[in-house]
Amino acid sequence: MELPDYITTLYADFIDPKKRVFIGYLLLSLLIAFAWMIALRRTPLRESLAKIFDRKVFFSPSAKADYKIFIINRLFSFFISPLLLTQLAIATSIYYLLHRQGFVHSGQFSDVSKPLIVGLYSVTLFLVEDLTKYLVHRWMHRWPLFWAIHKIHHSAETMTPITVYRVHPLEGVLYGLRGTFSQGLVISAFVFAFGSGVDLYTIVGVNVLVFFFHVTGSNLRHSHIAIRYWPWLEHILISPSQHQLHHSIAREHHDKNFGVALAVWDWMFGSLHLSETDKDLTFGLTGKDKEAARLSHIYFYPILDMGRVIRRRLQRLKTFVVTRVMRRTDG
Amino acid sequence: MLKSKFMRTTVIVAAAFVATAATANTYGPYPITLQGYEGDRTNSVSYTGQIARHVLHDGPYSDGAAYTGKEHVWDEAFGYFGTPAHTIGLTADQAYGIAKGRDLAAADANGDGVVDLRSEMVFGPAYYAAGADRSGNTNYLPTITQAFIDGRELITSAEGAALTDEQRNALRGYASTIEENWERVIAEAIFKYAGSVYNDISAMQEAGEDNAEIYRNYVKHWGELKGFTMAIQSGRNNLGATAVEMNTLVGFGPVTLDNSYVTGLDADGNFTRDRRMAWSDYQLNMLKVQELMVSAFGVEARAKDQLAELEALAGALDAAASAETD
Repeated sequence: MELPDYITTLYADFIDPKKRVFIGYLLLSLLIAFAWMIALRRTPLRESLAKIFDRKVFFSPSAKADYKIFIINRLFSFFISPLLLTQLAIATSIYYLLHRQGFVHSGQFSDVSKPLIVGLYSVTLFLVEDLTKYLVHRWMHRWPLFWAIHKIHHSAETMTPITVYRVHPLEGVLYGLRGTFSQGLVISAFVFAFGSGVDLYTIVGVNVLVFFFHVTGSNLRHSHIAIRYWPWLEHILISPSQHQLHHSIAREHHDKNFGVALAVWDWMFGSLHLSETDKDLTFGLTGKDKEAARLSHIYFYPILDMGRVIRRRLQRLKTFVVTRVMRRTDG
Repeated sequence: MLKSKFMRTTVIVAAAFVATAATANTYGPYPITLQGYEGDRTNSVSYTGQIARHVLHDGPYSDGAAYTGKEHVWDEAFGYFGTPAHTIGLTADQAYGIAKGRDLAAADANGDGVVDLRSEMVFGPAYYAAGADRSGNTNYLPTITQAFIDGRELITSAEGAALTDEQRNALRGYASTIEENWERVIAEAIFKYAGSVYNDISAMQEAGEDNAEIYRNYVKHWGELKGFTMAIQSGRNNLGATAVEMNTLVGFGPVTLDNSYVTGLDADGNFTRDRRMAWSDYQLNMLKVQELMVSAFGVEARAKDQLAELEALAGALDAAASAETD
C-alpha cells in the first residue's frame, strides 16, 4: 500500500455520508447535545461547553486507545476487505438460486408502481440490516467465543464517537460478512421479484432511514451525553442513553439493548431496558478483563481468550467421551 | 573392375541414404519429375503452405496484379472486417448510423454524393464493433481500424522486399490486436443477445396467451445468439471448455412454447425434443452465458446486462467490511 492511499483511508469515513462519523452528522450531534443541555437540562452555556468538550473524556487513556485503534484498524481493513466476499457475489448466487424455484418467475411483480417498489425496498433493506445487526450483536454477547473478541469494544471506559471503531479486526470481518449476506439477500430478492424498477430512496446517497438515524444523533450513542427519549419512543428507537446503559458495568444492565436504530427487536426478544434518570453509569469491564488502554492487550488478549474457550470446550468433550466409554466398559 | 564399380555404387547409394536421412524432416526439396521440362529450376516444390502464399509472398499476387500477395491478404482482411477507409474520423454513433442507412452523409467521405460500397460503407463486424462502442465503455472500432492501418503502412514501407524479423514481429502484433478485439466484438454480441433472450422470456410470461409477437422476437434473438456463438468458434483459437460450456447453455434450439427443446438427431435424421426445460432455467442459462462472456473474453460494453441491476444496487450500499460496532 502506498502511503497516500493509507492517508486517504484515514479521513475517508469523515467525508462519506454513508458513515456514522461523517463530519455533517458529527456537527449535528454536537448541536443536538447543546440543545439537550441548554434547552432541556437548563444548563448554562459555559457549563454545557465544559461538559460536552470534557477533556477527561476526549483525552482519557481509553479514548486515546480508541484513536490509535482507529488508525491501526484502517490498515487491517485495507488488506482484509478485498479478501472478503462482496455482497454482489452473494446477490448473484442467490439470484441464480431464485431462478431454480417455480413459485415466482423473474419480474413477476414488475408492474407494481415504481414508488411502491422503491419504498418497499428502502424499508426492507433498513429492517433486514437492523435486525441482522441486532442478532449478530446479541450473539457477540451470548457466545463465549464471540464475546472474547467483542469484549474489546466494551473495555472502553469513556466513550466518544470514535469508540464505534474500537473493534477487534476479527469482529470487523464478522460484521462485514453480516452486511454482505443481508444486503445480497435483499438486493437479489427484490430484483428477481420486481425487475428493473428497484431503487433506494436516498438523501446524499444514503437510504433515507439510515440518514434519519444519523442526523438524529447516532454519534451520541458513544458519548457521555445521556439523551433520553420518552418511554414509548424508547420501545421503538434506541436512545443514546439506552445504548450507554448497554455499556454499563452494572449487573442489571448486562445483555440489554443490543439494537442499533430500532428498539423493537430488544422489545420482541426480551432484552429491552429503558433509560434511567440521572444514574451515573460506569463504562467498561471488571475483573481481569479490565484493560482500557494497552494496545497489545486489546489485539492479542481476545485470541488467547478464544484459545481458552476452545480448550475448555475440548476438555469438556473429552470428559464426556471418557465417561461414556467408561460406562460402556463397566456395562 | 566390376568390384570397383560395385564399390562406387555402394558409396553413392550410402551417401544418398545419409543425405535423405538428414533432410527427411523437411518437406522437399524434391527433384523435377515433369517430363519435357526445359526451365532452370531444380526443385519441383512450389507449394510451401499458407504462410508462404499469404504472408511471405512479396511478388505480384497474380499475373499482372499491381500488389504483392502480402498487401492483398491484408487488404482482404480489412475488407472482411467491413469498415470504411475513413473510419478513424467517425464517431461510434456515425459508423452505426451508416450501417443502419440513417447517416449516409457521414459515409460519403469524398463528397461525391454517392456511397462507395467498397470504401465508404459499414458492414457486419464493423457494425457490431460500432454498436458495442456506443456504450462508451469500449473502443473496438478505432482500435481495430488503427491496427489495420498501421499494419498496412508497415507492409508498404518494405517496398515489396521481404520483411525483416523485426518488421514481421511488429506485423504480428497488429494482427493479434485485430484478432483479440474482433473476437471480443463477437463476444459482446453474444452477451447482448443472451440478454435479449432473457428479456423476451420475461415478456412472454407477462403476456400470457397473447404472446405471438414476443415469441417471434424471442426466436429471432435466439437465432442471432446461436449465430454469434458459432462465429466465435470459427476463429483461429480452439476455445476448448469455454466453447463446450457455451454450447451447452445455449443448446441446439430455443426452449419452445411447450417447454420442449431440441436435444439432438435420431437415427432417421429427425430432431429429438423429448426433454423439457422450465423458462426460468433457460433464463438462468442466459445469465450464465453473459457471465461466461465476461470471464472468458472480458466484454465491457455489456448491452442488456441482466446483472447490471444487482451491480448498481450493490454499489449504492456501504460495501466494505466496515470495522465498526456498537
